[in-house]
Amino acid sequence: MSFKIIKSEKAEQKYKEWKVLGKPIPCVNSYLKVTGKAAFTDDIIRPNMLYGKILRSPFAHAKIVKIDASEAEALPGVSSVITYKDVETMGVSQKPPAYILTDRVFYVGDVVAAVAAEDEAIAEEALDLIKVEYEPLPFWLTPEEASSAQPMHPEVTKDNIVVGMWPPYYRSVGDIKEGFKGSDIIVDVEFRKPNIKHMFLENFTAVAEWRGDELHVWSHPQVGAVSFAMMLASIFNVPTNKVHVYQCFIGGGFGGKMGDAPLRVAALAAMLAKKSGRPVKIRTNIREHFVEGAVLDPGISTFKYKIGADKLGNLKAIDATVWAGQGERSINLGIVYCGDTIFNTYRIPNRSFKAYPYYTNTPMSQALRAYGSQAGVPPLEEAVNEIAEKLGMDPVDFIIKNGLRDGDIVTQYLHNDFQLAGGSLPELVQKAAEIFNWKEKWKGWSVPTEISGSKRRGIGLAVATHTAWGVPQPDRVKDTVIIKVNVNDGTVEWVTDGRDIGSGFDTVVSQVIAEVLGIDIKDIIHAPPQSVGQPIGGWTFASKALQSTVFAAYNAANNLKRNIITAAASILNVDPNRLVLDLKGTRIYVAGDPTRYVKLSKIGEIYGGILIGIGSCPSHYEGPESYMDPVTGRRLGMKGMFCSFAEVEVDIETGKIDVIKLMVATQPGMILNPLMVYGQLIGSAVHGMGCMLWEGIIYDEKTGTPLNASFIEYPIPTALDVTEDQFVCVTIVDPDDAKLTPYRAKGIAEGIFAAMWHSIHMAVYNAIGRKIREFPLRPEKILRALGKAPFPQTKGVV
Amino acid sequence: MKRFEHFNAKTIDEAILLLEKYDGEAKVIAGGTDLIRVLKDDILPKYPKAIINLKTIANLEYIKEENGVLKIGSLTRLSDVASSSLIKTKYNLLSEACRSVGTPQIRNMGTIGGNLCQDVQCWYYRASKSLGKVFHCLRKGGNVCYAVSGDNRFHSIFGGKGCVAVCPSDVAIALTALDALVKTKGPLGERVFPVSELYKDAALNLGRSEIVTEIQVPEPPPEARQIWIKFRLRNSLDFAIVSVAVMLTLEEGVCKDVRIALGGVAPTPKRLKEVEDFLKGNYINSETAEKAGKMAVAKAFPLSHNAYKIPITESLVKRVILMAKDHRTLT
Repeated sequence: MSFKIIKSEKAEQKYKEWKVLGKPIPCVNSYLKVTGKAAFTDDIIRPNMLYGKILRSPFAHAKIVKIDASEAEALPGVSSVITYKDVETMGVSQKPPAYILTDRVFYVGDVVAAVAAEDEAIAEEALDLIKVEYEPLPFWLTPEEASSAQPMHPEVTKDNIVVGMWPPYYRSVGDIKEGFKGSDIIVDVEFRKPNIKHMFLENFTAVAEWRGDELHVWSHPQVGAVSFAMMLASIFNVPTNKVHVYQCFIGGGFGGKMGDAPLRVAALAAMLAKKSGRPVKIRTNIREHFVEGAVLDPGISTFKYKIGADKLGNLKAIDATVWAGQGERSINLGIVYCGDTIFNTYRIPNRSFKAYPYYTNTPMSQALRAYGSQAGVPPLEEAVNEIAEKLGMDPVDFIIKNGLRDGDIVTQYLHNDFQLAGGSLPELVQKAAEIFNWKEKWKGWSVPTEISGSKRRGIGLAVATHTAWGVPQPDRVKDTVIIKVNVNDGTVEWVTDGRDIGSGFDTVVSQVIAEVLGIDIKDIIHAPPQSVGQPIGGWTFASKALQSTVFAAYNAANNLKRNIITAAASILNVDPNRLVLDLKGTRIYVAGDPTRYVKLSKIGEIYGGILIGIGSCPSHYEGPESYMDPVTGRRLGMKGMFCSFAEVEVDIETGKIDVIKLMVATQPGMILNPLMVYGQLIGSAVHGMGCMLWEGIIYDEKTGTPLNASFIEYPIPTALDVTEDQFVCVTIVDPDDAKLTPYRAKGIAEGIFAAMWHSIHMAVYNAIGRKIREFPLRPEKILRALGKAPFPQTKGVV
Repeated sequence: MKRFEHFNAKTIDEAILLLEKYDGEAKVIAGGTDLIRVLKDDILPKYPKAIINLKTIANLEYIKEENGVLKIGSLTRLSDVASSSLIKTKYNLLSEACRSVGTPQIRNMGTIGGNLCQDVQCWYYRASKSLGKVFHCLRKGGNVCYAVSGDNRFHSIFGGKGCVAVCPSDVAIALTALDALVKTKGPLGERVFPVSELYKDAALNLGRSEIVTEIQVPEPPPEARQIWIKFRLRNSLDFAIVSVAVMLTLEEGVCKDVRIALGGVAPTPKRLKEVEDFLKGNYINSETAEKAGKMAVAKAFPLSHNAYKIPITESLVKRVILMAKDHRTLT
């Protein structure tokens, strides 16, 4: 594998200024993690603790007519059983469509009851003794079926359209009718996607304990501990300051540990703990991961895109519609970002996006390595490719002509539009194409680059843009960082309301603090988040930590440093600019004259015995004047720019696809830690490869049961499925590509996935000359497309 | 997992006695890489009352050659079989098949006997209570095979008596092509029989208290060429969609002897006797190999979702024969 970092002169200059940033510093928690000493939720054992197990629904949609738990309760070793009947008596508030327990089940595996017992074996046996009588109801998995079905949640909507963010799910810019009138060529493309899963290694786990009216919960939410406490407080109608959430190490998230699934498991543990009067741990297994956890939003979807261009290849209009099966609930943020892709990847003057997100009988939909923008890429690229093919244009030239670039207006759905400040797809694609040797390899549309026996090679590319700025956040999740300096030895602790999900968050924020305060990263620790006594934070999601948490840390560290220096300057009676902060030496001295100093403890006394710096990130959308372009007067914003090039080999006798080469490229602004960036690029690329080639939940159509619910049946790539020379990561490093953050860096963990998976799709098309407008591209699909074996169109695509 | 009794057997006879005592309600465990999944998923119609550990039995982990026969103790780990230089040199087909099982961790724990005796992978059969839905299928005493009318993309293309799950063991396919024997011990004593007879209708053809103790492989002629191909989604750890084992002996380009076994396509390891008869005495070239591929699937009758296995099988049989002829190994 190789990692190419191409630096501009400005970037070189910045790297010279930095002492800690830009360096390949290993993850600060790596030692704890690789030696098994990091405390994950499942490592928490409380005195007198019980174990909980969950009874799950065999029906995709049903009403519980009768439930009798008396036999289970009578089993020796069982402490308590909860069913929907306990909800009211325990004061649990329930808002449809987000139930903890109710007398209805909305998908196979939905929660019916839970048991707490002395050990898991007894709890499991007790589940068998709960007698449930169901009245099965009609169920549906696809948006097409949902559109004509009875409403799933008649309490909130009459038409099965999901009540989430951004109704009425329609947005347009320009005039598409005029746009199509002015088009010389118009194509219609229909594309389908299955439900895909996060497949992190740590299954949903929670420990709950009541101490009087205080609720203590250990969990692994991707939302911050304070936000999680607020959610639990509202479920149990208790004051937020009585809910203590301890955010443990997170064993992978990819968006799947955002609010709902960890919350329900924690709430069930808390309900059992309340009824038993003892602490309860629930740890789910990999099977339950498929029915407790979410799928990518949008879920099982059909995309219909109509797109027009003139003879010269200038895109004129797009009319895009998405029918999405969103599961039993969703906030639809993925749908929003699906639209974002259509509006903000290519310069298309006339645009329309409509979405029909439906309730379906599968688990809820959520972010999965991004909210929806990755799902929007394959259908958009399919449509754009078809135009380019009909015009006989090389796709690289087509992107250079039409791609989004610096200074363009970015259309947003939930907030004001902004002007793009840095980053440009045409420039990125041009540079990356040279490195990939595209012009030499390209032989035209649907022409293999190489044929050998039954093997056909093909190349492809795709582009994507993605939020690099955090998604719009309500005020309550604004980022704050607090830094504390210990005056006795100058060591530093920092805290925010968020935890590393594997993207290097702890490490990079520590680097920022080390850089400002001039100390070694080893002298800094990130205090484990716990809700009580801590500020609220911005969660770890949406590629945002690198902007907003880093911004908050930068402000906190600078505030702290300024306070220390100002106090020292007045004691020493010197110009503050002449002072050097030497935390390790626990003193502040005059530059060039170390004998003139003041002790850190003295400064501590001035500030009431404690040295603390607080900083927050300015709200993204009401930023200071520097967020305005002085020339146009427009508000500025950022987006990540991504492209990917793929070379594949398809065996037309067996339908097997081998990925020969994958090259992903981005303009990350400055790289604050090359190890983290490399890890994220590779991780994102491999994740996307698995989704395009193999993944997707296969449902039994008669019952709605997910059939491939385990690591052996749901094939994600392992380390053995990638080889050394398969991947190339390219970063074009220039501070001007991320103008709006203190260190000129933006998040890259999500967008690569979006570009990458379609580059494989295009490469397969060019290799075999058959369009397969869905994924995954399993052998059965390839052989069907080649006319070698029939394969039925399955519900849910896979 | 639910509660069960656990016994560390010191001898095979003790294990057999315990099996007898529990009368069908006990299971033996060696590496446990499959049984633990079965227990966690709680898929058996009756949860076993006892688990009998065989790893505590001495002298069942060995690889040796005696009078032209390779003998492997049933507790020998797959990783040891795969890396044995004796097996690599003379019985490479077996070595390759073992190496293609699971992951390195699974091969380090899983035993050769366990691989032969693992339960089928049908996803209807394996649907777990943790998911909510359990299919009370034919294997569990029900009346229906849900795969026949459901998603059967990984099931048999050569039918089955009721259950259409395929034999999941890679080792069994290689051993079938090697004409190997298994030795078992039960309450009635020991018996030795061909590996192909270990399976019947997608199930193990063993007595209730019978334990596999040894695998015996006759030494192939030194000039025999052995090739193993396992077709799967990921190269890392999937079960076979289709696998082919071939043993081919040539004399001046003419097939003197050949044995071909297919995996992943039928409820039991499938020997291609007709194809073998066709090839014997014929020149091995792309024409005969192609014909062999076609013959291999001539009697296939796919279910609703698995017709794609036919072209794959056809292609792999052809390839495996040509690879054997050219002395090529896996590419």
